[in-house]
Amino acid sequence: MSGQVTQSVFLKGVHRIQEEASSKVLILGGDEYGIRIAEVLKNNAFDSTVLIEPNEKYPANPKVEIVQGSIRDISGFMGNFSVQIETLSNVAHSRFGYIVAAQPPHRESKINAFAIHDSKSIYNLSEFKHYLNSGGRLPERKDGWRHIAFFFDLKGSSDVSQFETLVSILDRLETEDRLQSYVFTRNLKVASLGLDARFRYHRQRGVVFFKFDNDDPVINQDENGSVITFIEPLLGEEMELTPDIMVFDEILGPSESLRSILNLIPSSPAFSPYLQPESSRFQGVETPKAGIYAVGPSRGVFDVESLNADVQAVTVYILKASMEKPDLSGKGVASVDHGKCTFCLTCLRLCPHGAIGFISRPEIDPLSCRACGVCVVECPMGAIEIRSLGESTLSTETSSRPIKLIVCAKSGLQAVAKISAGILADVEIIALQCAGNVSAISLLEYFRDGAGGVIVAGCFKGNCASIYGSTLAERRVGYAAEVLTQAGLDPERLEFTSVAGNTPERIVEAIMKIKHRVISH
Amino acid sequence: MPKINLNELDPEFKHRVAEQPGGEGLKACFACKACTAACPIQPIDKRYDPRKIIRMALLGMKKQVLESDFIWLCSSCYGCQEVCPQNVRFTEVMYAIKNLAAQEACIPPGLTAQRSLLKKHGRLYEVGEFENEKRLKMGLPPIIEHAEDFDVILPDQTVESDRGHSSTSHNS
Repeated sequence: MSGQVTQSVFLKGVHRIQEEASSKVLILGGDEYGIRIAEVLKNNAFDSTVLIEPNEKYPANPKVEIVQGSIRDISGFMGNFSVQIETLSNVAHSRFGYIVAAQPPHRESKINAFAIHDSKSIYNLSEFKHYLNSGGRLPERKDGWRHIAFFFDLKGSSDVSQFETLVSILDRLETEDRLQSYVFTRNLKVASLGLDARFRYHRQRGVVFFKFDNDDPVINQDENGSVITFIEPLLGEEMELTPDIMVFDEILGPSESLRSILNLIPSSPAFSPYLQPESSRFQGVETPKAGIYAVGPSRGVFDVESLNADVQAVTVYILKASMEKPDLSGKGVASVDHGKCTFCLTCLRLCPHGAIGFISRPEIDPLSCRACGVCVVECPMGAIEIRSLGESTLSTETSSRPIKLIVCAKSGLQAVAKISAGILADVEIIALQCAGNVSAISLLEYFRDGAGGVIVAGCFKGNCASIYGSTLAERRVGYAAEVLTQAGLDPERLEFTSVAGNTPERIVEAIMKIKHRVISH
Repeated sequence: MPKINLNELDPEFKHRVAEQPGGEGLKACFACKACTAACPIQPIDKRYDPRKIIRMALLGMKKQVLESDFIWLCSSCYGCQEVCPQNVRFTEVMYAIKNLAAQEACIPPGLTAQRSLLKKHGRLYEVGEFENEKRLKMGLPPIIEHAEDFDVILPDQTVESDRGHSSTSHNS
């Protein structure tokens, strides 16, 4: 590896670019926020290009380079992203060091999912908001009340931004006289600054919410209009409503440009259409891939204060990243033994951080690699290793202890620090960057070498910094337990437990269980 | 059971209940069922379910609530009020609902009978010569009925005592 710059390898490139890292920033969309980010970055000596979608309107700004188009192709890593941008007139190829996405997801109609046909009194949520904002009126009724039925989070899950849209419509309808709004829903999404209070305000005002666990409402249409039939979830009685207007929330999907960014991160199906997993492991505007940042709408955050904070934060993250130098020794990150590699590309498809590229052979970008070890374990040829790990964790003083506790350095290790030494007396602690680095074979090897019990402590679901590292670990523990059973050993001596830094009792529980198991047999 | 048509219900009803003294908390209910769990009446008579009564009120089922006989089953033990996390103050809400029912002349016959006793005798039990003779033997002064005060606070009205009621006998 010495002398070779592995900082820039491209998945689809035919040649390997060995230039200096670029510090230019590509900003996707975001209306005025995208342009504000460009301005803040400029004040910090970063040039940027704001890419606006072909049909999007944007405020003119002479200080910022604005391109109207979409991403046709993208590859590369932090400091060296190769991007093809298709504009109305041509396809241009550019190099960027960092990518900031500020685009909201696209919305597609859900009306078809309800098996009804579109008519004058049926709207999509964003459509209805636009209709009201552009001066649209509600139908008048001389005799009695008007009824609006909203459908939210049914036939596919919806998110906070859509609920915010719904609540802002309710805000607007507040002044209407003799109007009753009904919301048919599964789960309301109120986790945004102030949204919960606004929801409670409207409930207090008299908006009625029907929360279904199953048995969704059925809509029947005839020439006289639509009738909603449902079992009232709390009363258990059959009810019907003939609404004057029906409003449906929409399915979210990434925009075309955002989709190509998501394609760079193999773990993205777990959090698409957003660019950031909904997890405390991802602070601020971080995404699983180095050099790619998610701002505001592209990470599912829409309130003004968070948006402003993100605009400031992204500059700090880029400044920090620009000072990072790759460690070319290959220590602490995964590296491929090209003699063993058979080009099956399993690593490429599985790396949660999109840290692996391919130019005639797989290459791991040292700045993007988080040493989670998912590729190390999944490589069918055993061609990948993380060099500095393994050496530091094994100490002769503790390796004779009968219980092996394999912990994730991000969660389990902090939990272990809270456990008293007495409980840990018989326990050897093996810390990994991620439980994803645990293989079934290594677990079985512990038993071969005389371990009394083995505990793997990964993170809780949705809390894994490598998205599915912990899930893979749990699966491998299950597989190893099966092998133990076939070999005539007690599978209960092997245990997977989910922990966080503040749940040491879960580790203690697992240790006690194993101790009890080993002693009583 | 026939379908309940939301278009025929009264969206104003929940606001009317909430306007009554004590009814203010109604719309804060998030249906956790703590009230129903705490209610001593509910295990005896399933029709009296605080959570369902709130839901019916919120949905505007005015007729079904006010003309029901189960709203009069509340024992006013305040158990529901104690456990409510949303501070609905359901016992007070029940008073509000019962007041509205009275305004709509939906009172169970037992209560109407008590009212007329009060109006006529100034008390819930008539005190006649028999009782006063007994009192005299025990050295107690006789009770003289003063119905005139109650006559003032309970003016004449045409009480449709059995509107919406068929079988209630109510003793509290």
